[in-house]
Amino acid sequence: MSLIDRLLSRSPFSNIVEMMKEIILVVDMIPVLFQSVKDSHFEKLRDYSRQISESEGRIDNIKREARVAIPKSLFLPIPKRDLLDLILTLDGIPDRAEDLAKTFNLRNFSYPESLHSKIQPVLTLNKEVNELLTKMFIQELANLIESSFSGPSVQNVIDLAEKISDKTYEAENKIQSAMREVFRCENLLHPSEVLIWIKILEQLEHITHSQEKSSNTLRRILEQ
Amino acid sequence: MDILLLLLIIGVLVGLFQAWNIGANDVANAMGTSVGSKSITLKQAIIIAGIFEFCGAVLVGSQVTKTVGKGIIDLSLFQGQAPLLSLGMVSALAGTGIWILIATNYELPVSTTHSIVGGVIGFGVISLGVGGIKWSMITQIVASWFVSPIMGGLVAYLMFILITKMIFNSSKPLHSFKIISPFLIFLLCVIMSLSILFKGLKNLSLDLSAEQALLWSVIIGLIGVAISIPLISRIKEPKYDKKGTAELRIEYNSVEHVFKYLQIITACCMAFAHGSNDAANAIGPLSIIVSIYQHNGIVTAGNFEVPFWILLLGGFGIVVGLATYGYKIIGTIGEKITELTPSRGFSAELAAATTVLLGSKLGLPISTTHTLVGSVIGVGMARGLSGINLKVIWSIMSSWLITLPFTAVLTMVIYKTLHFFLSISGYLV
Repeated sequence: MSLIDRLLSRSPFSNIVEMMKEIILVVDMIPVLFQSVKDSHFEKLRDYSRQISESEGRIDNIKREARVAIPKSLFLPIPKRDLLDLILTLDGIPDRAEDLAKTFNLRNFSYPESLHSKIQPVLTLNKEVNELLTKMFIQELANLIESSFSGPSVQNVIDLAEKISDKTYEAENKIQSAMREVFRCENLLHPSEVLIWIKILEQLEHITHSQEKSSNTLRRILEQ
Repeated sequence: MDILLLLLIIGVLVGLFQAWNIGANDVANAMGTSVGSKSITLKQAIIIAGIFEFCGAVLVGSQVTKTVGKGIIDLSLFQGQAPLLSLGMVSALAGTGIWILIATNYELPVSTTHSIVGGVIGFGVISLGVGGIKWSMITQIVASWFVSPIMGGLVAYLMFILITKMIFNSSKPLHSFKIISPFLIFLLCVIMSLSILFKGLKNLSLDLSAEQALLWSVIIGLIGVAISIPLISRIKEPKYDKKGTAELRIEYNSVEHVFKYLQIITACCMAFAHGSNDAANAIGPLSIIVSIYQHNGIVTAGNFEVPFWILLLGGFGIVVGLATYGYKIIGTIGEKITELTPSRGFSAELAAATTVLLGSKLGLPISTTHTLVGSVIGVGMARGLSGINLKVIWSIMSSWLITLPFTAVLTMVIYKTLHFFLSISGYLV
């Protein structure tokens, strides 16, 4: 192998892109979990939950590979600690998604129509945030690397982070509204179902937080 | 057979072997950034290297050859003992060649330049003692080994910062590139022309002064700009109101696509610079052997001219080494996923080529590979690359510590061995 070849390491940012691609798949499965409960397809629900767990496992492997691929001797365009922070915050999304999937499998439960109408906008916002994160971490990251983490790409990332913040704030409000709806529906639900729905909504909120945290981490790195 | 003729024949063979070594092992590093960024294919790299390595060796190679030949040891101390000097040069070439082979086998990042200097020092010490070495020259040479990667790194850093700030950070990257590229092309043409025209064409009986060479270089640079402007203006710029993510991506891709053509020119520069600097590693000692033979055993320590056919031999050996083995190493470059884009490769190569050509003009045998490594690191320092393996720097520095003493000792051993066998066979008294 030539000396130049040994000097240039495999890009650690490719791990982030790989992670993001898996995260997209995981987050895209969240609406499917809710739909399965609505349709009372609990066998399918368990199957989807298992798929989410498997994806989470793959993402953990990518995260470990990423850590190994960033040894002390590697010189990076952004501080090593920031890159590892970024990988950690991204990892929070599939972790929360797996927790959510596990909650769905605690028992079979019902899904009142009034609650569905409150949760559906949250899932739509969640999907939009997912798309913005994709743009940020797959498309815009490539531009950042090209422009040495400077130039118009930085502003594009900041704009995307602002949009994600707005949407996650809106999603959090809607989750609160959905939680209130759970208590309004408590006559239609078994007490354990109330508990499960509150837990599900809390975990959905955690996923939203993780998404916002990921975008803010990249923004913070660029604004340093 | 006359001892001088015998040593000449052996010297030519070993010199050719050394030139082959350079082509086989070193050229891959010189062309590494061009192939790695996918600006040129493997086949194109071999053709470019073949042509420009040869031209560099023949047109500009004499300056460094003189330093490697007579700049390290005091040749006047060998008057009356010319066969020993020839033998020493053969030993230096052989010792260097063996070390390069061993190092290649173990993937050690050694420099052919450092190796031959070590070999010549080894012979000097064993034959003349420490006092026979021109230590002031050695100090200059060793200092240049530190200075050249740093200089390459600094120039590459500045070049890439300029490209980033003026092109990639602009709101219209492609438009900015079209404005800046004539300047870059002018710079390229001037550097290449100056390196050929100034002290470079004595072999063709064209010895231009510094002012004349500069004037002609500027003219050639302007011609280069005149040719490039209509070509570059034909590049269509996309019309966007606002540069969103996707639009930026398209513009960056277009800029990188055009940088490929600039990198082809820098690849030629790099090959030329490498040929000019590294051919001396093979033909420097050989030129001494030839001179001794041509002057019937008289050591001409003063006015020393490198015969043209030796430069041809060096260039030929490098090309053969590249064509028979070097292409395999070049072929493995770029298999890794890195962000070595044409703009990065261009910055690193231009910086390295400029540094090496300057070293060649000053007669300083610097390492092309290590200079290019310094340049690539310079681009990395400008945040141009996603990951630089700093371990390579430590391995290069440790190779500096190993190479000189190793080749010196190996040369001493070979010299003593050959001396013994030539003595018992009656060639040497």
